[in-house]
Amino acid sequence: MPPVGAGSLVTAVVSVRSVTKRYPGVAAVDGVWLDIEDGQFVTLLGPSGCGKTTLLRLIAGFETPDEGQVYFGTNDVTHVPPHERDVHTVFQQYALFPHLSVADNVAFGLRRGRVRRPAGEVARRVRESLELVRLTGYGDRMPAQLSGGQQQRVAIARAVAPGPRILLLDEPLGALDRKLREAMQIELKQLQRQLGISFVFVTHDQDEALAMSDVVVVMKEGKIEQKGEPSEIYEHPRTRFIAEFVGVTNVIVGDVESIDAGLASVRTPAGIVPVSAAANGGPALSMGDRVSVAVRPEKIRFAEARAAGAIACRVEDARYLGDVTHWRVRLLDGSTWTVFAQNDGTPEPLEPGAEVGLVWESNHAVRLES
Amino acid sequence: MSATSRPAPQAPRPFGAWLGIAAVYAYLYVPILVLVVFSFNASRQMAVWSGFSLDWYAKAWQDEAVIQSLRTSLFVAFISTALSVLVGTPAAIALGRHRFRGRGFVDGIFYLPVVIPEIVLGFASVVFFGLAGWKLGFWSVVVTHVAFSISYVVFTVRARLAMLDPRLEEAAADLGAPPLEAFARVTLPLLVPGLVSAALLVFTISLDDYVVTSFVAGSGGTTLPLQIYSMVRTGVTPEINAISTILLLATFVLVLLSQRYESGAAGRGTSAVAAAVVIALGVFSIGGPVRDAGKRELSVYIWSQYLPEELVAEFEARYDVRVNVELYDSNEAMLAKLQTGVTSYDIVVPSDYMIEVLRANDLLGEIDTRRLTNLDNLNPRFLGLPFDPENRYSIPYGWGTSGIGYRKDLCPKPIRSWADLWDPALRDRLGMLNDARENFAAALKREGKSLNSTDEADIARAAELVEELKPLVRTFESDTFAENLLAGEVWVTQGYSGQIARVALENPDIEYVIPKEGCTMFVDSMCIPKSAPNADLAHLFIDFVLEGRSAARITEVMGFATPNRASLEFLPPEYRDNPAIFPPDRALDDCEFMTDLGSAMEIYDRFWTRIKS
Repeated sequence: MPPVGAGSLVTAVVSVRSVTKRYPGVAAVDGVWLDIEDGQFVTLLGPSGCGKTTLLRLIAGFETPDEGQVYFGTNDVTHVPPHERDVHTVFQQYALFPHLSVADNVAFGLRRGRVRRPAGEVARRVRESLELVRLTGYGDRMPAQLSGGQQQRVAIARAVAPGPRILLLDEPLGALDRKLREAMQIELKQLQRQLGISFVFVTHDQDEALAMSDVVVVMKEGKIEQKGEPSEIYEHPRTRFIAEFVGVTNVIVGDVESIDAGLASVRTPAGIVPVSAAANGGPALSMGDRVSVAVRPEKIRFAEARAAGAIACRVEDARYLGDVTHWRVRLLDGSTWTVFAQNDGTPEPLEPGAEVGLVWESNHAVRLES
Repeated sequence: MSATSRPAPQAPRPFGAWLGIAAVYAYLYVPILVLVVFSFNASRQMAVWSGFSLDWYAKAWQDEAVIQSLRTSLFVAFISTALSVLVGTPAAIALGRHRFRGRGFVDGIFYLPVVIPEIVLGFASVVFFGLAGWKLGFWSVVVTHVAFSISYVVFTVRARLAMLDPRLEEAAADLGAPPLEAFARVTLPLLVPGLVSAALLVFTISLDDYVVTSFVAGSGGTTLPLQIYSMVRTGVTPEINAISTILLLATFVLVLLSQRYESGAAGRGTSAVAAAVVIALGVFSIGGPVRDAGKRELSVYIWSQYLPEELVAEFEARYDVRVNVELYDSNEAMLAKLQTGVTSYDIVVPSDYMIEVLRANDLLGEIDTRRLTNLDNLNPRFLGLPFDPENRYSIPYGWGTSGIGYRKDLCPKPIRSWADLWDPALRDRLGMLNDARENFAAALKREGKSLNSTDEADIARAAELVEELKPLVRTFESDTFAENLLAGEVWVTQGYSGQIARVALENPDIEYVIPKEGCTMFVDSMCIPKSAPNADLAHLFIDFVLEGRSAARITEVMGFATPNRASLEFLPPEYRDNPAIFPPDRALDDCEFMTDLGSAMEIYDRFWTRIKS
């Protein structure tokens, strides 16, 4: 079986090999393979219950797999307890120690029993870590005296202070408001580059995943659906689930009618749709195949209703958002599509009820695995 | 603002509701308030306010027995608190954090001591100590207190634990702390408020416990509540109000602190206060034991107000020993304690009939009268009494009668005989002892019968008479009859000569009468239990009591007569020449000792139950 998440074993800092974790009645993580390269920002993306947090906890060591192994580099850490693993976690609700000051929270991992650091070094690293998250001067405060965003930074400083090889982040931005969240996304990405270590970031927010990651791992029902760079996930979603979970998409189903110069014509109830006949992770198309085709809304342009190769539709309504307008149109087969049009000054002579055609570059029509 | 976010306007509470709430609070707290208020009363009378005074607090503070029992209480509380927290905390953590087979069952076991009736717990404990052959004393109290305190510690700590975010422990592990270190650096500091709260709670419970403690206390284990209870028996004085008020205050402060810790509202100030209190009490409580460490011990188990403190101090100094004085409030309570077989008393002071019972149970050791140099001081009339004809087991300590006390200023006519009590003019102004034998004694004597009659017809007739008397009786009361007489609440009361003699010294309108038909006479005697660890010292103590000067002091404290001839010269005239204390011989001619009636007692009990219901 080709492991979806597997990469090069030579450079992987974390290697999850065929790991399964079952809870009563459900396999939270189900035969997952995943390699995380050194210095990568990897995001585990999926709806709640998809197993992304369990996978993170398996890496941290809070859970032990029922099957399979977890490697850090070439070491099998499957049964190594969390306190002996060289990874640190930023928890969802931060889990700051409420009885310790900010500085003592950050120093916690520096003062642990195994490693005795001189006091001067501890102080220096606390200072540097707080500086890193722009909380210089907050060392004497207690966690309860800080805002949510500040607590978030303390949690990050505490996790990076001991210098882990890998930082695990469990939906760390979930509790912040949108503006702060966007600012923190940029900061986290910068921090990761600055530290040069691997981040494994769990989120259910696709924007966050696309904006920050080197690699996005989409999960569903305990399995990895697709692993790839953000653009790959977005532009070439492997399945309908991914296409619809990551961004907005329009999907139509039809049968291959003809193939010409690598381009297949798919007959759908709404008209003929051209799509690349080449393999997209699956076998090449042949005549008579039934395929699902996805087209992103921003890839679609309006044309004359009867223009050659255009799909006819009727305009239903429009949501004007300033920079773009989201159009809702109804195809001949009755299905509803979304079209994003940039408000770039090109006249859009459309009224609800108008009949128009939709066109797109054939390479933007993506064939989905059924 | 949306409509839902605004609190609904409160309807003004109707006056009736306020009244209802006030009534409930009054019902709860007025009795306590009365107790506190009268602790500041200048008069010793319960019901009459005669000015503000702190005298009773001063008196309590100077009462060596009270202070000693307070020390014992605190010492027990400290040790049992420390032990129960040490044992209960790991149990709470195991139950709260780990899942294992049978957890629900183990959980339930920890709840049990809280719901088991205290009396069952106390009895079970004493049976256990008896089987284990563990001497009742200080440590038996500590062990029992630990046993019931652990439950409270487990609850309190578990409640705190449930509030902790389990991710904090994960975070500590994640940052490299092994389980023990994570516990020490994260879990434990966060549990501290729960631990302090639990400690304060069990300290309070230990300090206040009476029922269980009364079962398992032995020599060295008299706690403050036991001391208070035994003092009540010989009459309620405002000194007890004062001690109770202090106990109440201590409980209140401890519970308040406990709640502050529980709710997390405790700051540095609270902690500083708590720490200061703990240190002060700790130093105070170990003051006594430290002073007496390593000395030989004599344990005296005796009625309260029977043994003056200065005599105890003198005996301690003369022989360089330590004397534990434990108190009981009835012959039967003393018997029950000795029957456990694990006491370590060297001296007990039972009444006449009880000596027969103790002998029948083989609980008494023989007294070597050759070692008593002062035996000749005793009036021969009190040697060789029917319950111990050769004085092999008992040496008389004090004696008295249970006759009638009355108010010359209130009663319509002088009281001279039992028959005078059956007078409708005394309706609701008569006090009787709360004791079957004494009530029947009054009726039997009136009829010219023996008060030890086992004849069913005699007893039935006496029961009719007592039934007739019942409408006149205001209280059946064995503890506060003398105070009731002093306060004028009753005009006439059946009562023990000692207590009535003492109030008669305060109010010359009170007279004590031995009815012309005769009444109960009793002698309390010193005995050495068979199990006494220190019979040598016990002999020295008996001989010490037989000294004239000692006996005189005892009479002054008890108000009862002494059988000691040599003591008369040391007694002030108001005692020596007081017919209430030393009645003329002919008044005693028709008096009788109570004897153990054996199975006939059931007849008395049957009638008495019917009368009292």
